[in-house]
Amino acid sequence: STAQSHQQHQRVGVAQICDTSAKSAVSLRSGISTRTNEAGGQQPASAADDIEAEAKNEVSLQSAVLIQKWYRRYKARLEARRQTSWMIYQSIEYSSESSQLHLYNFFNDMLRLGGGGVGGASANAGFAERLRQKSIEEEDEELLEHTGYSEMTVERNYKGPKLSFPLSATHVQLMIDSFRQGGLLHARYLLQLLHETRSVLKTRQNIQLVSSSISKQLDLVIKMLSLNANFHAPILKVTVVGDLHGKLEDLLIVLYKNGLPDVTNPYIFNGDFVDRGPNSVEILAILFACQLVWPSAVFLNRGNHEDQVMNLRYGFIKEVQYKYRQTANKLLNMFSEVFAWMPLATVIDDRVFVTHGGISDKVDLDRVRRLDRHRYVSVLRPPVAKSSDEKVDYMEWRQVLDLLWSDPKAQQGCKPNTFRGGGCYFGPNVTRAFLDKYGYKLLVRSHECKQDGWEFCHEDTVLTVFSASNYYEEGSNKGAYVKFDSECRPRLVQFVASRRDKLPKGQRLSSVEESALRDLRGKILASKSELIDAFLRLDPEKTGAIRVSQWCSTMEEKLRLELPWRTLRPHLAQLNKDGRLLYMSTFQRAAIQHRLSGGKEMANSVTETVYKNREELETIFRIMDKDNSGQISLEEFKESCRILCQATQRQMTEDEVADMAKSLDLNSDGYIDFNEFLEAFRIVDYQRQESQKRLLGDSVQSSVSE
Amino acid sequence: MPITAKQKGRATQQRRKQPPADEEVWKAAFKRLDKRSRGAIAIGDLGEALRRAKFVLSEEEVQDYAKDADPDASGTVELPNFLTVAARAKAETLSPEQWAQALDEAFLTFDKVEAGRLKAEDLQGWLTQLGEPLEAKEVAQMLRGLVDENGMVVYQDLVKRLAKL
Repeated sequence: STAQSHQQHQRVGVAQICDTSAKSAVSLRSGISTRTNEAGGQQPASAADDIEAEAKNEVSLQSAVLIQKWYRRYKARLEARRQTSWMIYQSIEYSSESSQLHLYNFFNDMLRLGGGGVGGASANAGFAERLRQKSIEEEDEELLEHTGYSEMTVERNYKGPKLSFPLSATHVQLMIDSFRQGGLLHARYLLQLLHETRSVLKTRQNIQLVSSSISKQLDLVIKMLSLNANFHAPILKVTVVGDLHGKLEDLLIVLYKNGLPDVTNPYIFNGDFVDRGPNSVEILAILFACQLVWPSAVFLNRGNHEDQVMNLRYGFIKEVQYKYRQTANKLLNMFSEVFAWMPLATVIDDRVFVTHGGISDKVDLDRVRRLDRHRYVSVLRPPVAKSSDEKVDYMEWRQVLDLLWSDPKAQQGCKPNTFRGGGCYFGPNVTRAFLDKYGYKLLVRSHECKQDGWEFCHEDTVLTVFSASNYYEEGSNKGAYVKFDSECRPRLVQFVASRRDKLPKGQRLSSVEESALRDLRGKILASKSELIDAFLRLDPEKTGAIRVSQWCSTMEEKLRLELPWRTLRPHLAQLNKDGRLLYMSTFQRAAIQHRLSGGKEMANSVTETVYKNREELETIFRIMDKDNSGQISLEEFKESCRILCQATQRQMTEDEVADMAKSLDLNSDGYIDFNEFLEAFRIVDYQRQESQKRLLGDSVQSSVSE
Repeated sequence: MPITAKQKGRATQQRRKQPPADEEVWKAAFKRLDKRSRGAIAIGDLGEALRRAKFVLSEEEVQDYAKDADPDASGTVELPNFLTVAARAKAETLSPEQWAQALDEAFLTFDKVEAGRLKAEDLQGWLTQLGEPLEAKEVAQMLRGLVDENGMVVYQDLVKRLAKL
């Protein structure tokens, strides 16, 4: 029958494949007759049948191996894809951070220019004052006056956790239970919590010390009492937790798996508690409460995100404003205070040095111990001056910056961290020198997201631990924490905080990858004009195509993202039939994709400039809007126009500015809100667009239209 | 003039046939595992590197190549040796279409009644006990989302998933 012969044919196929694997000894006939037998429904019973049975086994074996081979390849390919998306995320993230620092530098320059410059002294002075950090030389009483809570009452219908001071472990549990269900801590309790925490942190050293064994004195006493010569005092394991970035679930997983802090279970929290995630406030509340309840068992290190300048940009301030509205200002001032009082590093048993970012070849721990950390309200700004003519001690400032911002790299030596815009890249020799100088065995730091949540480098002398799982996207990475035993041997624990774990691995990866590519396309569009300029220069004969290698180097030169452009090319641009790259397709696909994914209309350079500057604009707006009202006055707007013009090197006359200001005050009340502000910066560059069109020529453009 | 589908197809085909492009893929796979940029990977990573370079190999086959990849038995594989091994693997490998058919037939071996379906439990058993066993966890991952409420797997779907990358 046809069915049977069909089966026979297929059986042959498998055997053939097995032969290419060079291992099979299958007799085709045995294979076929086995099939026939089964179709007949009878079990084999003779010696010949035994061989047949064995042959059948052999075929099953080979089939199994085939499937297994495929699975193994599939797994390896998934890993490779994951790593590519990973690289995209990392480069986009860090390039954001460096522009933050550039923005800060720009404001610093502007401050220097500010005195008696354009626009009249008084206007400038007011503006400059606004930008300058509020003086933090206030005494504690003054601080209390401005951020007092005693007059605040808690409403009767308040459903969140109720605190009473001094706090106890019960309160911590209460907060955890409430936050887990979306509860909000009342501003009054939060303020008091912050005040208490500030008092405690003030008493801490810049570099804290923690020991993994109960004091020797106590040890001796216990030994004597127990009259047991072999008695050993309980050895504590010190746990180090990395970046949390507002992801409450991850903190709760750690506390659940590892237990709440207490004398027998000390914790070091290594910074970056806030920004990006949705529960920065709740995380801080829990950590500060723990600090108060178990002061000798909780050690907080400051991270680069425990910083007002970063919070403006990365979401913490937005979160506080959203959750606390009228009291947001008070709270933000207090948070800022507490951040400034957070210690900079912690040492375990004189053997393990724990800090948020890393080190540099200039780090001098004696200097670090002596400095007044409280003066660094933002680590990105010079320390607050003690007197008006005091000069900034750059060497001291650098110590703090390096500890909180540096990254380890494979290359020897110490270079400025241009990617992030602050701190250094330090190599294995720098680590070796540091550890030898101070007698440490290991450097533990966080600051960088790692796929497995942890990573050793510099021949296992540096350990990165990162505790925010799924940091970029669902499925992007695991979180981890590390426990050190009395010999300071690390044990790493991984976890993932996600309930939405239903997608199989392949699909989950796609959304991570897609998301990364989408971000990348957005960035490409934002730099469209510069890229087109560069491409045109490489294509003087206007063929519309350049070599792939030329495209790769141009992309890297303009975007500076250090990505594997050649690998990404299929997702970003098309080739013509000669294998040359049609450079305009870089934007075509991006535009189409963007539209498909619901992005804004991106076809012209006007919107592109807005998109590129949007983050900067929002940051500037927030700085202008000191009372956090969401509005700025026309005068301030004009001032900011002038500044941004300098930054983007586009010229606008006073009249143009005034006209814009007037026309944008949509409800004519003399104030501009943020949307109006954004609209204001559609810096139209008609000439540029026109000249590009002429150069390119209509023929080339239409040849790539799909 | 707009690019026709035919032209695009031709371009794609040409790309596939170019050996230099393959070498790029192999180099990239090697580099990802050579995290410290030493120009060499551990012999234990040879399988992973070859699979990332899109080769479908059994552990036994990897061992076979290992001898060529590390001729002086130093425990490391240098890039030039890796590329040679990859070229050899390429010469010995089947075309993607042949592979897809082979995979189909492999499943058919277990599918006595040719229903197009297999019991997930049975599949788990075979793949964790026969040949070069996978871990139960890996099989679970492989089958995730493909098992219907009766505990059956339409293996055509699995073939599609495995062959996709």
